[in-house]
Amino acid sequence: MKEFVCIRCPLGCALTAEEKDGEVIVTGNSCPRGREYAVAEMTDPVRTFSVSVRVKGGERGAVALRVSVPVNKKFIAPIAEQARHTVLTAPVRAGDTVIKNAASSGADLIAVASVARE
Amino acid sequence: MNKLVIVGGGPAGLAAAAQARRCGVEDITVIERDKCLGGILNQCVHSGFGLHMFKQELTGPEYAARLEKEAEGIKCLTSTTVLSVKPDKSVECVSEKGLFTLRADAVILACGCRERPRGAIGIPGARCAGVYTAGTAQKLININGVMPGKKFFILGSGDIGLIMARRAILQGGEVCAVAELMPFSSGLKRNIAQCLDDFGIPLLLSHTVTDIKESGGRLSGVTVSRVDEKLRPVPGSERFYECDTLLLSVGLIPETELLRGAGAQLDPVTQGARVDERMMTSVDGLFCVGNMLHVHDLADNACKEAEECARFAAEYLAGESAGGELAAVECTGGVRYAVPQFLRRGARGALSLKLRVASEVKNVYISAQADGEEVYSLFRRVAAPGEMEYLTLPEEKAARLRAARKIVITLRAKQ
Repeated sequence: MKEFVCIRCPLGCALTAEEKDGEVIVTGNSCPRGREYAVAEMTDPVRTFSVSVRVKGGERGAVALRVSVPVNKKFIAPIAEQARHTVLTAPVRAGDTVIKNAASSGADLIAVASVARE
Repeated sequence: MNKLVIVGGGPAGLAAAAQARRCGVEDITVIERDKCLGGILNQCVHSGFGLHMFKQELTGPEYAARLEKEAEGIKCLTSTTVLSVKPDKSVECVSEKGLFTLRADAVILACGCRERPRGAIGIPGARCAGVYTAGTAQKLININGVMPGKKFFILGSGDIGLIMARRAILQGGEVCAVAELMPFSSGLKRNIAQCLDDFGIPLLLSHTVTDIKESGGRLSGVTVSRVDEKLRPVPGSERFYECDTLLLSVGLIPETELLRGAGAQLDPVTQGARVDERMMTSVDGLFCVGNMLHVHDLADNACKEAEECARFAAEYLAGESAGGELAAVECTGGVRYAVPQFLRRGARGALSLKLRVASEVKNVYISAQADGEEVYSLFRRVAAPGEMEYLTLPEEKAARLRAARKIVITLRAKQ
């Protein structure tokens, strides 16, 4: 059994979810969105996030990369690890795909801003 | 008589500029002290921006780029700092070219807010390196590519504190815990779940930092104590956390230097300007929006407010009347503040009021009352100080409020 606070609205219902015979049983929710959230957290908890990577020879020292699609949260640590070992060289253009299939997650890492040469 | 100067090229300033142009203002100048536009959005690289405005989840820099595109072609002076704004709407600026003065017919101030620093909360202990506001650390990591430390302790559980806890981990740091003075976090539930719980970072409610230790000039640890219901540290509850960096996310305050210089009245609760429903300050033709007026939860909402203000500024430039005398809005019964602070007796159209409650409350109506009679209400299953509430009164109800001798915003329990 897992317990979480629902994040779908400011009410913050205390949810419990349990898997029984391949089905997720949710309690504590006061609306269907709470059930939806608990089921997603039990089966495929996805996250959208970005990582800052260093840039050489640019007008600034870093640029952030975002995941192209939400990824299961188990990929957060390996993607962050890969990004920490990445150093880009300016220029970087917003929208560029910098890393394809990051940490085999299925998501690419996309530059969110441009960095011109120094 | 149609020159508009906008001070600040962040979300509110850019949204105001684009909207003013749509409203027919031809001569617009945006002044930004940084070398690029976008303001604080440039360092907010997490996603979650633009859901209302662009129906899409964007990162801060992507959101800034959208706003810049909407304002494309408008004259923007970057790397230019405004030193003062005078009541005659002359704007004194300085840039690499030197000092110069712009003469405007209306000015919109959109200078944002500033973080409360260590000095504002009086943490005792060593005056050492390793104490940063969360926003400074955010800029170092996301813009400069520099990690300000290895092992962090974070004081304050507002959204910036929570987001920086996750950022520290993603960039290879460690986070001991996040301490929050209050018995609740003012951050979004989503951020508590996705920035703390996902990484197993403890949230210590009703706790604060009571001492800072140093070694060789650098922070070496913090003492954290539990606080009682009067927010006083409880003796004997101290715990020492070894770390090299303390991040402070202990509140934002509107940046009011230019307002004070212009002689505009300030609100002691919001710590921003007192404005009428056009978001005009007590100085004729001087408007104020976004986080400089009152601190918002979402950039989208700051932009929406800026768009409303730009429409009123355009009307002002076109010579439309102010709409009669001022009528003060009074906040009681659990409503901490409401913006605007004044209505105009003769104003027309719908009225939008923004407010915050003083503490978390359940099953309440937010009630707008004219001479003791409720003219409009909004039901909330839960309302919290961390979530700004919006009342939009249709024209006929707004008119009753504007005509009242006593205008009150209050909370009413559901029967």
